[in-house]
Parts: sequence; structure tokens; C-alpha cells
Amino acid sequence: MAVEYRPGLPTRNDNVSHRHPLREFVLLMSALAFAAAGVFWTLGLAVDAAVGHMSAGTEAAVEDAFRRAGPPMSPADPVRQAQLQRLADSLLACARRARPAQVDLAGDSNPNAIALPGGRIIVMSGLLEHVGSENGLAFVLAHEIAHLQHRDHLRAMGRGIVLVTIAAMLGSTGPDVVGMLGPVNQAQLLHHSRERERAADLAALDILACRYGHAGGATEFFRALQRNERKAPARTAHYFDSHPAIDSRIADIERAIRERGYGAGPLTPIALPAAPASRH
Amino acid sequence: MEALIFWAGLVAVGFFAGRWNESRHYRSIEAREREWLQLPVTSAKEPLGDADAIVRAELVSGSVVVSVDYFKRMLAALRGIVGGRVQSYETLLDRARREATLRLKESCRGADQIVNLRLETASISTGEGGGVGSVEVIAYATALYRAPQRAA
Amino acid sequence: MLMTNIETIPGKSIVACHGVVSGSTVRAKHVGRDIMASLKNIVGGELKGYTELLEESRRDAIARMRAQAEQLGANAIVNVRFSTSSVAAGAAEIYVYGTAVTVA
Repeated sequence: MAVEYRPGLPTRNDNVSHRHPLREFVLLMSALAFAAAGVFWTLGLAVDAAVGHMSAGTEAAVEDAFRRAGPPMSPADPVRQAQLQRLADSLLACARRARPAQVDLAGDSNPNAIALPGGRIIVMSGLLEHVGSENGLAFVLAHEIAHLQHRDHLRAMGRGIVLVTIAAMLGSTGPDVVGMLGPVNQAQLLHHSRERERAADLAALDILACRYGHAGGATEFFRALQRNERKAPARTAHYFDSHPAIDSRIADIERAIRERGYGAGPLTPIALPAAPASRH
Repeated sequence: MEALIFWAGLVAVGFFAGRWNESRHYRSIEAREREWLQLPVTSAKEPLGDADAIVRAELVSGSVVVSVDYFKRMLAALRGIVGGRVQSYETLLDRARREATLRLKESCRGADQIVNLRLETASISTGEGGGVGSVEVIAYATALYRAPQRAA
Repeated sequence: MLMTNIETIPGKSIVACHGVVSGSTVRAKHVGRDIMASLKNIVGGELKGYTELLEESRRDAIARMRAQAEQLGANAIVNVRFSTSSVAAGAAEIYVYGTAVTVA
């Protein structure tokens, strides 16, 4: 029995979807970026809650672990380092901090200071050229002590863990997705970092005013950096991503001075032998 | 920031070049399918019509490897998280299968019919964890030839 | 739409043949199912999430093949075969094809 062949071609292709791919792309990207940002934000709140409620004992244990792991440093200039240490110790009472912070002076021309987990503060010798008075220097040290008091390094570490976890979960499907959605979480991390810097600035202002009775010299260091920036913008550009812009930091501090009613006052000069000529 | 711009550039190139390639390929496929419509293809084992008139049977095959563009790969990666139908790969596979079948038909001009069509798909990975570089489809069947009709 | 994976529909005779029709879907699993699967790797047992996924894909592919056969005017599909392959990370393609025929 012969079977007839009836040729035909389907007019509509059912094996493909007819939605425009760009629409799908935009929808998926925005949904996933929103979800990634939401997860990061929620877990960030959890990190803040955990860090805020951490007992002093736990914090001390964590700090000791880091202190042992930190790099030993031989002092570039023992005399100045000892003076920095005395200045930092004098701020402890106003900072309501029991454990002293160890201050190290590093021979680096960058005008920077860092607070390390473990209760250490490292000041670069380049910073000393940008402060003209003890008050200005005290503000910088107070800012770093405020970071330690706020446990900012623990917050940053917790958020870093959250970022890596989200990246690992997204990355399980392939290498491309992390590159796409990573910047969303990184932008959130940098925003958080800027917020913590602002909080440390305001806390340092309070410590300064408590120690000296007035807020003179608070913006000394930032103004010096500002002058630097105008002369050679590229050099200090790297400073800005995780920190707020210099101009807005100065503005915030001055507004806080007005709001909290701090006055200006005489600046104490730094009593030191002249800085050695070429350390860098 | 530069990495993001570079990535966006790759996606844009993949999107535009990919769509142009795809529409060109589909036009070619549709034209050739109309041309080859008269040659019956079945996935059954039995030939249509009289089996005694068949003088020759031959294994024929057609294969093609089609590559993914960057935009399709992005969409597939996003779908891999959210789940659901990966529409960017559907057109890829559709094209590859139809192209393989057409090449099979083109390799046996003069055949009377083609029986027992089978298709196999394989993915050829570029080696990066999970990323697929291209899709290979091979179509194979038996081509049957009748004795040529003599004018009475 | 009648479907078999043998040469004929038992009890009916094939009147006309319309050629090969096919249906395919590519589906990806989402991260939730991935995580459940990782957990099941420890305790063992059926991965219900994946089973559901494959069933959905199978139904979808068969529906597409049926739609294509209807467009050609057929009322049965014989010699149906399935084929799966993994084409993207975490996504699998289910492809089903057969010969569309008219039976009486």
C-alpha cells in the first residue's frame, strides 16, 4: 500500500521564542542586580548588628589574633614615633577607649595613616609634612582611634565575606556572571566605606574638642591635601574611591563645628627637632 | 570601570553581529528547505511506497558546528541563575539542526527518499569553566535510490 | 495527536507522510535547585527539583513537536525519538523528533 508524500513547511517556527532578546537581557540584568544589591544590603545590616553587639571580650580576642599576625616594624624615627604614641595615648580618655593603640611611624612619602585590626595605627612620615600644629596631628590620630572604636575593620571584613559569598554563589554558573554583577556589590561596599569615613571624621572632631577645648586645627590636614590636589591632581586621585571627596569632608566637618558649637582656639605647635631632610 | 566598558562593548558586538549572522543564516536555510522539499525525509525505517523498486541504499550524513556569540552566552549565564527557558540557545540549536539536515540532503542529490533520520547534538566547550563555545549537530540517515525510470 | 515510537499506529493505517517534525527546549535550573542538589549530594536520594525540571522540558518539547505537526496537517507522529545534550552550564536541551503522518 503506497503512502502518499505530502510535503509542507511550517509557517511559524515553534522551536524558538519570539520575545526580543534585548528585552530579556535588560529584564534579567536589572532583576539580578536588584537581588544582589538587596542581599548585600540585608546581610550588611546583619554584619552591623553582630559587630555592634560583639562583647568587648570577643573583640579583644579577635584583636589579639590580628596583633600577633601583624608585621613587625622597626621604627623609622624612634623619637618622633614616641611622641606620636604619647599624643595618641593622651586622646584615649576623650575617646572613651580603655586599650591603648600602638602607633608606628613608617618611612613613606604618602600622606596617609591607617588603622589596622589589632589596635595598631600606622602613620606615614609623609603625613607629618602636611600638618602644622599638634591639633591637626591629633585630629588625624583621633580619626584612626575612632575607626578602632567603631570596629570599622570588622564591619569591612564582614561585608567582604558577604561579597565573596555572593560572588561564589553567582560564579557557580560560570565566570561571566561575576564580572557583570560584581560592580553592583563593589559600589555598595565603597559607599559603606565612605559612610564609615564620615562617621570617623565626626567622632574625631568630638575627641579633638574634648581634648583641647576647641576645634581649631580640625581641617588642617585636609586643607593641605586639597592644596596638593590642585598642584598635582593625579597623585591623590586614588584616595577618593573608598573615601569621600576632600571638599565634602571639609564641608561636613565645618558644618558639624557650627552645629555642635565648637569654637576655634590657639593651635599648639608640634614641639620637635626639625624633620630629617631626606627620609624618602 | 574599564573592565565594565570592555565587557559592554563585547556584549554589543556579540548582539549586533550575532543577530546579523543569524538572520542571514535563517534566510539561507529557508530558501534551501523550499528547494529540497520534494525529497521525502522520515525517521521511520520503512520506505514509503514500493520497497522492491529500491536498487541502492547508502548511509549519508551532514554535520555542522555553529558558534555562540558573546551576547547569547551572557543571556545563558543569567538564565543559569534565574532558571527557565534559555531562548538565546534555542535559535542556535534550531539553525544547527536544520543546517545539518540540509547538508545531509545536499550530499545525496538524486536520491529517492531518505529514511531513518537520526540527529545527535554535542557541545564543544572552550575550556573556561562551564562556558560553551559551540554546538555540533550531526544528522545521519539512509538514502534510497530507485531504478531510473525509462521513458516508455 | 497520536504518538508512538514504533513504525505504525497499531489499528490504524498510514495514509500520507509529511516529513520529519521536531520540538526542542533548552532549560536552565536556578541557583535554588543547585543548592538543594549540593545538599542531596551528601545525603543521597531523588533530586525532585531536577526531575520536575526534566518533566517540564519533556512536556514542552513534545507540545512544540505536536504544534509543528498540526501546522503541516498531520494527525499522528510515529517513530518518535528523544535526544538530550548539555549546551550551556547548568542548562540541558531536550530534543524530540518523529515522522508526521496522517492516519485513517
